[in-house]
Amino acid sequence: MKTIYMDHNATTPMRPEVVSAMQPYLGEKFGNPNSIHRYGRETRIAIENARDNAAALIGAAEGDEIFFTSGGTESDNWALRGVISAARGRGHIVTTAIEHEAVLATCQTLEAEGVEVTYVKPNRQGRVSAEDVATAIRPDTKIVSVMWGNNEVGTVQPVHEIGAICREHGILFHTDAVQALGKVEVDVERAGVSLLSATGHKINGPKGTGFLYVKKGTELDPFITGGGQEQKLRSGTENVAGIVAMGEACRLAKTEGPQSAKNIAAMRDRLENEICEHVPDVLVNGDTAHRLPGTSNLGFIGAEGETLLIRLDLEGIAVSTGAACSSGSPEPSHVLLAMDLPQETVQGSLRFSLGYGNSDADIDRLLEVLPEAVGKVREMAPRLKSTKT
Amino acid sequence: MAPRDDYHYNETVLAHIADPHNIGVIEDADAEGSGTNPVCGDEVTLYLKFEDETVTDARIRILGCGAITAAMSSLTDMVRGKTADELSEITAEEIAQSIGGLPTHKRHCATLARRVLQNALKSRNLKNSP
Repeated sequence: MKTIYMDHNATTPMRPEVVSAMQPYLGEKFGNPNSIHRYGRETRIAIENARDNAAALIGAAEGDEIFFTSGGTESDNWALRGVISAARGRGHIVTTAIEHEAVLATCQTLEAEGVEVTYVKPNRQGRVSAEDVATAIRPDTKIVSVMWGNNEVGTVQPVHEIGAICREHGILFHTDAVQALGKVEVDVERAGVSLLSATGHKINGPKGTGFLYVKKGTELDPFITGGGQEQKLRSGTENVAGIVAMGEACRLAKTEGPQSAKNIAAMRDRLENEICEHVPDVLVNGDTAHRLPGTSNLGFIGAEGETLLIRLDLEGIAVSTGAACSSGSPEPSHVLLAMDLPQETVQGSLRFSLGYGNSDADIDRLLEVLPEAVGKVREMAPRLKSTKT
Repeated sequence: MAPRDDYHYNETVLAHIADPHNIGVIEDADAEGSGTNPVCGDEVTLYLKFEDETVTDARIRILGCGAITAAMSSLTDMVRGKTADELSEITAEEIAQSIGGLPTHKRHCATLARRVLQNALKSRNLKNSP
């Protein structure tokens, strides 16, 4: 069976160029970049090149503002804990109700330690307002953390406005750009960002790789202590092969990202339009005017997302659902709930996320399978028995 | 201790989701029970037909996740040929075991399936009461 991957917001396939770039560092180029000898010098050059590629992708003024981590989750943890720790463990954080769990769970832990947190709610399209963020800022606010693009519905947040507000108040601005990177233009200088979280595996790089951008002058304590790597701020021998691969993924995202985003957005729009045309009672979740190019989150009224997901999986098509019971938690998606969507929309939501490797033929195949799958799931339901598909 | 993979469905569960057994309604059912999970929104109705005190037909309607679909699908097979007394003894654990077990965060679906069965039996008692 030909399989089709439409879950790029979960993770992405590694591009062949990325695999090629990392291969020597899994074999003959094994040196510790902190060693003085030639083996060390060779790998040091490679990771510094990767650092420059990461800096170029996000418009950082200098490469040494990039600190390699194990991924987006570590970067989020470090940004929040590092800032609060530098503020002697006290203060207030402004974030949103639709952040990734890496931010939300960290905020909840910090709350248990005495830090106060305000969670700004989004509108029904999953977008927070910069004014609401400004209103939440207090004299003791140490950091504002707002994601660049949402992983579930793809809504792009008003980061530039929020960055300007933070700059005006002299408050640090952290953004989780894990989903946005390589899909929309990310420029930390223009957006007024002090800290930015990123990961390699969402931009066709390897899992277990990521970085935190830290603007020069930002007061940030280390999160992982030890041998003092990464300018004494993030200890641990560098994951050389992973970093080199992520660097190559950053380079490709920088050079090909804008055109690729256009193509993917066109495919996503076709997918969405044709589904809405061929399947009745479908709602688009998210903000179609401010959205990541590959993401389409659809609510199939009278169906259940997970059952639909498995039916599509059995046809070889991989999609995702953030709705009830789907992600190791019996609770429905915190993002869709924060958007105040009706339960039947939340329950019947599916996320299609397109990316590298998808083609129009994939959309054709989905459109062959999906209407019947939705019909079958709806036929099982106690309600809407007359719904025709 | 939870199994290492306490997240994915097993092949039996997937087979039930792909082709759930006994979807439908029994118009002249002798027993009918419903149940919902207000947290995730699952809604289930079970219809039973009895002849000579044993179940001869069982049908379901479901708006719910894969786990409740599999649990109810399997339950419709389990109940056939059983008396009301035997049905009242079916436990959530037995329903879960009939589909090879469920991930920890999905076990509430087997509990919901049992509750729906109990509700159906109560409706039969009400119908049969003088």
